[in-house]
Amino acid sequence: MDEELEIIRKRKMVEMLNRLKQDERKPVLVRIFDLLLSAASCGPSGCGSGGCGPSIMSENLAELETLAYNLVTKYGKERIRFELVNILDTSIQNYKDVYEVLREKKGESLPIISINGEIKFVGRVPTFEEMDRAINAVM
Amino acid sequence: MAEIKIIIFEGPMCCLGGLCGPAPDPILIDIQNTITELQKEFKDSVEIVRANMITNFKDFLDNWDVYQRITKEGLSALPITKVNGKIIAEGSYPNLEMLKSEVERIITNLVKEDSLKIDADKRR
Repeated sequence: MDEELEIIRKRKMVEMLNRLKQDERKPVLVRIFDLLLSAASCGPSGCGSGGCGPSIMSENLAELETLAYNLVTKYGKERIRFELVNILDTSIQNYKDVYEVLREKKGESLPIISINGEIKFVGRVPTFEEMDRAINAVM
Repeated sequence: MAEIKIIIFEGPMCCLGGLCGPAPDPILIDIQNTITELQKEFKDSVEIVRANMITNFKDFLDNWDVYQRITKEGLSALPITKVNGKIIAEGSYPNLEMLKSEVERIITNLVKEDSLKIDADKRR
């Protein structure tokens, strides 16, 4: 009888540990939707030397990079994952709610930031504290 | 104020107008000539704007039908030309004939509307 109980208890503990491990394996996913252009998309003809014109990326990219770096430093790269989605990419159509925000707020809507699929920030780069709070809420 | 507004939405280019580098694309020289011709012929009644993706991306979002096409077909949907809000060319630049006939059609319609209005006023 005691032996059986012991076996059940052990099995339960293993299950619990597995569940904890799985939770750990699943990081918070932060998606950043913005306009991304690169010098690679330079002109229909390109520009021979390749050295002309601006190589423009998102205006917000430097700020976003710092933010992402600080968050990864705090939580570790196993706990938080970042994905950059170009709003010019055809995959944008898969994010229906983001597409709706773009339609409604137009140019004012960038960048859009979602956490675990839920839109949290629209039209600005949030501060570290704001992101920290939003991420903590879903961890 | 111009009665007819033409906007040409263009993909990212290395410089405004795209006429840079050692070998500028002849297509881009053509469209610039077309614009100059049109402006010469119709003067102030036609306003032509080239919306550049790098500097005027807001224009792309403000014209949702244009943005929608890009998200469906990618950048190959560009250039897109709109005349008074209607898309008349997609995937390539319109030629002078095309733009001219569209502008003339709109002007004819405007004149018709005006004369109808005058008739109605007379009857009153």
